Amino acid sequence: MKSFWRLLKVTVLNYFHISVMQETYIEQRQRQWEPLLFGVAIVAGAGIVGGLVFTSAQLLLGGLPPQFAELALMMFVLATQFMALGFGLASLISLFYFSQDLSVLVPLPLKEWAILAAKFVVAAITEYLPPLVLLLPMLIAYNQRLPLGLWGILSALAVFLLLPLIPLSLAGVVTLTIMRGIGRRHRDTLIVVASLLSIAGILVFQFFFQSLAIGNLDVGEVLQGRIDLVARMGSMFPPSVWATRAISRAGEPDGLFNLLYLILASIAAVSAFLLVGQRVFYSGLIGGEERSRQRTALDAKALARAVQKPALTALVWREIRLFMRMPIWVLNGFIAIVIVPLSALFPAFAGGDMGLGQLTSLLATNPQGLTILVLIFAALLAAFSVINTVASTAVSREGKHLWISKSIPVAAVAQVKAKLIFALICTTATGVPLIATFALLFSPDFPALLLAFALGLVASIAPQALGLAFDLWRPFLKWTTPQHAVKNNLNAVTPLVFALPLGAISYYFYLWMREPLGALLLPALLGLHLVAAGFSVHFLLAKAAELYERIEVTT
Amino acid sequence: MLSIRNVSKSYVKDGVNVVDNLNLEVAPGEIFGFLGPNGAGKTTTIKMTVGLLKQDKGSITVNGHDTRQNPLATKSSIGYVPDNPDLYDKLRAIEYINFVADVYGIGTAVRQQRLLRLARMFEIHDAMSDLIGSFSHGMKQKLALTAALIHEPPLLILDEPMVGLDPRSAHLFKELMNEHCSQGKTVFFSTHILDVAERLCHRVGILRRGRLIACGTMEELRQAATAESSLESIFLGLTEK
Ligand SMILES: Nc1ncnc2c1ncn2[C@@H]1O[C@H](COP(=O)(O)OP(=O)(O)OP(=O)(O)O)[C@@H](O)[C@H]1O
Ligand SMILES: [Mg+2]
Repeated sequence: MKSFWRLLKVTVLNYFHISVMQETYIEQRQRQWEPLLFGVAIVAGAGIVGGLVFTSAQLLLGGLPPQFAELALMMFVLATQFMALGFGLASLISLFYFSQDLSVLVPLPLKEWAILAAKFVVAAITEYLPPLVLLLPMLIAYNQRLPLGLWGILSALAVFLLLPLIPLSLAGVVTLTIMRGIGRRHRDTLIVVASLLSIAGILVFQFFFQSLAIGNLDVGEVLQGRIDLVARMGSMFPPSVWATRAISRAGEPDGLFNLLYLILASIAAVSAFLLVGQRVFYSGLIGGEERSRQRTALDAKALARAVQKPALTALVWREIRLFMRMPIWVLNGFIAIVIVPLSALFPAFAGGDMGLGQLTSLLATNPQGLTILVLIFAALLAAFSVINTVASTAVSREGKHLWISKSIPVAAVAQVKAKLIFALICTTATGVPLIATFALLFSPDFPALLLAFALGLVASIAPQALGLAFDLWRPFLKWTTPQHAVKNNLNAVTPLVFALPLGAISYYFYLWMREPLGALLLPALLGLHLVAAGFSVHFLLAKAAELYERIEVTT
Repeated sequence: MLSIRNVSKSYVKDGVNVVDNLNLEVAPGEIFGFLGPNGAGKTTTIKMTVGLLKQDKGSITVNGHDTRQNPLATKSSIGYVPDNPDLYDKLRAIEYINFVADVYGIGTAVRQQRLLRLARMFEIHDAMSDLIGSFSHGMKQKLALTAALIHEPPLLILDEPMVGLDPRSAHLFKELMNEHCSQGKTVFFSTHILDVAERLCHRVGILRRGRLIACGTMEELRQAATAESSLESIFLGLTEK
């Protein structure tokens, strides 16, 4: 047990970079404004999201008859659990299969369960963010509408703490089992499989909810309590019902029983994880370390590929290969691009969706309809590019390989250009499915498609160029696992910061100028973004040499 | 070929100098061995020469170009292998070599010929189509060396190149260094293997806490110490105090 606590401490310190932070901020007293800024950003971000959730929860609860409050609560519980499952999959995969401490830990005289449990606790710590911004505001709003009382608040607290455990254990069992199937060596495959599973899960969840929520329910019967909507909707995941009722019926025996169910189920889930883990983990791990290799001589074919290319082309190809061959980066950057068009298309083709049909007819009658659609798709394309992290982590991603870039005789400007070109290639590639979705759903004319594409592409340039400049200024190079490079990297979100004012300007430009400009609105907007793009790229390239020069390769 | 003048470097602002007012000249055609206990500042010096770190004071010139004022020219003159060759795991060896050759502007025919020769010599020619991630430490080392030699640099800078090489490769490597300098080119390398330094290097320098405490040919070092002593006893004697 003592060794478990020590292990847990080390794992936590290591995972959250606490020792590194201590070293830089406290011992060396360097860049102390960074943690401050970090803290402010996180608190502000969580505050804004939490506030939004709270307001919507208030509105929702205020507008619903009390019979539905329980249902609303369960929706939030379910959403929290769902997010915990997703985050859990991601962090457990990273903890078990990408962390480099395993090769150190495994040979140590530690019990298997201790390693598993330490990793589980670390994952669980990160799991409390979704409940904090999602469930907590809802609970407060709920308490306002239907006061919970002391017992209810205590139950709510217990539920809050227990909630992530079952999804996390599930995620753990799934990860470890899949891993056993494909082996640690193919962990990249694991990421792909897990992500596809998550996408499928999201789609099914969405479909299920839509059909249930909008399905033919007799509201009267629900109001009279003859249909138990909570039980019905929670049937896909009973712990959500227990969690909900533990709160909503706190004080009654029923509430106590539900809380008990939740506690027991949580214990059972964690135990199941540990049991399965002990059986599966090591075999997956050990099976993964061995390598099979077939060697072929440097044949004429391979040698023939050794053809000279211009330096810039070589740099761009290096960017493409290094990014595309790291599934975690590709998925992190591009998963939204798969999900959004799919979840828009899926209900449209599955039929029975009123939202899209209404939107289409609304836009058909609106004279500005096509303009609005072009703007929406351009904005989507720009937004996807802004969040894909390709440009904003381009320098950070080099990590310990930066010595290569710094020791080759290629000017910083050329290296930065290659990174920007790669980012724009990604934007262009993103545009294709997106514009195809546009074409499929609304069949606009060709100029409209082209304009949406061009506008989206051009609008994405400034945030990406500025994000790249920021990454060049403060790259995060000390990552040890590829997902740290993009996930634990604040730089990943800088393009969003630059894009927000641009988006606001575009929005007001649209509002104020659509009357005077008429058909010229979109070209004018394109011009506006071209100017912004021009300035940003100029800034980036002008600063490239100086910023690049500053970076020291210390590792 | 390489001249380091009054160079100082500290990792922490106003901290101790890990390289302290270092002066060093390496002539063309020379094999120079850079010795010193762990933490003496060898890697730091090498990184400043290659352009990975900036010196706080002093200047470094390579092949007549100042590393800070004309970084691209100095980098073109250098072939560098770091102490821990972290290469791109996700690239195939051939892709990596190609990339390096491209950025140094090596023509197709020349690169193919050099690649074939080096890869065969290091016996990694049958792994060139593999991902670098599947390479052993020694194979990575040899691949990094191949990449560093593909543009036949006037100055080869190696940080502990012998670590992880099998005896045969180590032998090959020594021959390669001799060959390199017989063409009038220069080799500057750090090592802990005194045997190799003694037999291979024309001159050695011993660094201790960032300062050069001895520098010269083996003869000169022996004369400074008691006669007939080995490099090992000179090294131990000098670095003890
Ligand atoms: N990134 C860094 N941050 C802070 N200090 C560092 C860093 N890298 C090296 N040092 C310090 O600089 C000094 C010199 O280190 P350096 O790596 O140059 O030594 P070395 O001679 O190459 O040693 P070795 O023989 O072990 O490779 C050491 O005291 C080390 O602690
Ligand atoms: Mg060293």
